Amino acid sequence: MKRKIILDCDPGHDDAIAIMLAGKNPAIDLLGITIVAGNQTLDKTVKNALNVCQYLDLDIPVYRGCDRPMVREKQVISSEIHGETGLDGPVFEPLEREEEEEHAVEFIIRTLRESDGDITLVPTGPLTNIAMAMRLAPDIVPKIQEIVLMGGCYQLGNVTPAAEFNIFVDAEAAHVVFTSGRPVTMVGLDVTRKVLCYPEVIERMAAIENRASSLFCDLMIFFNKTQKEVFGWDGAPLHDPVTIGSLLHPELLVTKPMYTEIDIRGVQSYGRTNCDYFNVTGKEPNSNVAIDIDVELFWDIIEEAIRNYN
Amino acid sequence: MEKMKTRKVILDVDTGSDDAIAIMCAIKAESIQLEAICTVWGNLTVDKTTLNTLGLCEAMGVEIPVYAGCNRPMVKDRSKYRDLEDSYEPLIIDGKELKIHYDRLEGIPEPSRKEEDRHAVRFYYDYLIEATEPVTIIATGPLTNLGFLFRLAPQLAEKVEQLIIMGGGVHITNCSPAGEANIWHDPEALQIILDTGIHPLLVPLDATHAAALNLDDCARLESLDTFAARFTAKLARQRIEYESARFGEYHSFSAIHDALAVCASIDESVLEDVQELACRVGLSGSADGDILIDRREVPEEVNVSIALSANKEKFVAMLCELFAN
Repeated sequence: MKRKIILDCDPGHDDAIAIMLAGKNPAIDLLGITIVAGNQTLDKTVKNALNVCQYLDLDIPVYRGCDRPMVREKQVISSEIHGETGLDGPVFEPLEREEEEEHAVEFIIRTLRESDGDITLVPTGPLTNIAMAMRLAPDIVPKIQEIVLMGGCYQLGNVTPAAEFNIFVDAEAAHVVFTSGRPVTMVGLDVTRKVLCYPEVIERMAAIENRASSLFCDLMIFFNKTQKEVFGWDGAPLHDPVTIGSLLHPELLVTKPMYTEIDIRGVQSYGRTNCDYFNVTGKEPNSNVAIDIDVELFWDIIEEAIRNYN
Repeated sequence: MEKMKTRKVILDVDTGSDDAIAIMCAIKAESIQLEAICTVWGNLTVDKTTLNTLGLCEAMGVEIPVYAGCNRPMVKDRSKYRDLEDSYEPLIIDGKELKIHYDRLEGIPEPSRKEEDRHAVRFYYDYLIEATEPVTIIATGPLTNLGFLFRLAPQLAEKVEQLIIMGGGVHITNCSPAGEANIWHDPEALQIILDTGIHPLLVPLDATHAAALNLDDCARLESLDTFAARFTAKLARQRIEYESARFGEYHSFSAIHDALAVCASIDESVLEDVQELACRVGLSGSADGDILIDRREVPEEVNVSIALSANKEKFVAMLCELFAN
């Protein structure tokens, strides 16, 4: 049976690859793509999602969601990593694909209400849309099968020493999701930093020679350049697709149950995912935190996904 | 009483004993055209505040649409749904538990209609998008519904002529050393409202306590012998009974907080010492839920009007006039 998912994202280079991975996969039923502000402003992330769907000929509805975090007034974006458009690199044809009229939060609420509790939420951006839906319609929470999200870290942050970007942008929303009582798999920087897209990976995918491979290469050549400038490594970490990869192949990740609490009160450590690795608090775990990843399997999954577009 | 031209009003309530009196004020005021009542969690869970609101409308013979809203704060839960079972010490006198807000308002009918299908936040959005005339919103519970609304659509703040909020305390608090209940229960929601630039009128505990009702006021209302007056007196007596048992014999009065906010929309001169101030909301630590007034020589930009006192005689006179017929 196909795995039903809603992909909630802020494309974003790695989000675009996540769409590619989930959009045309025999094992996944992608019900909709909901968009949030994050890597770039909402207008841009919506446009990017539509461009990716149009380019890959994916007939999946795209819903515009929240344009700012749940509480904080300041929207943090990441143009130094993702460029001015949020998806710098590839050149797209004029956009004809249109977004849906329904708001992303209402789509999430409606779809979960109509479901049999068999939908997995896969957020790869700030958690604003998901948290707003949970609070506006608490009855949907028990209907969420599980949440597999890219965000956080139990080790080193990226946007501050303490925090990972997606959680930092809307820590209040992350607090709502991590306290929701539903199973959360946290795919954090601790594992996504291990899947670095070195030039030989780009060469391997380029050799497939279809539309998906050329999009992959255009995206990753730009992504590698900014990641090198900001973090100094020779291959960009391909964060967001790890979530989808783990749904396709659960053995991709090693996870450990931990009690995770979001810092929504601090200043220096605002947005940190405090993962209780050693259970020093003695609290019941509320998340499965990814602690290791099978790097070779990951690139095999990416290659297979690109070949699905042959 | 000074007559102003008719103003369209939406109430946002957590009914609640003092909310009930506030709703009756809005129904009876000639200057108010009550467009809708939105309910929220707060004094009680949202299913109970909604049922109480519907029952009260029925008792008053009006069919104003009622929209049920949020049942949890935007971010931080602190007293689980505020039914208070977890942290609350019941007050039992002669074997009877006294409450300031009973689950069901006594003496009103079982409602024969239900709340509207739409969620309160969706209602606000649709209403304000289409609104061509100014509207006043009076919020007397936690600000969760409006927090969500203005986070989803901050541009709609421009459609609100005036937002009157019963909440906060400058020199008086009640829920924590820093916080008044409505703000303390969802401080993030107030900060979001302030961030829209909407410039609300705050009716804090400083004003409502200055206009507290005593037993003589209850007797005066009872002598009017209308449903609204008798019901107000009954609720006020319940509150006084609770507060004097909780705080001591000398405390034989009770602030009817929410009704003062509605009366201020009818005649703002019921409020006194209204100051234009710069305010932020404490969102963490000991200041969580506090309204932080910028008291520096050169403060931040003024963003709220706050009433630091009220005219008690005028407030009681307004209640008597509103409920006379």
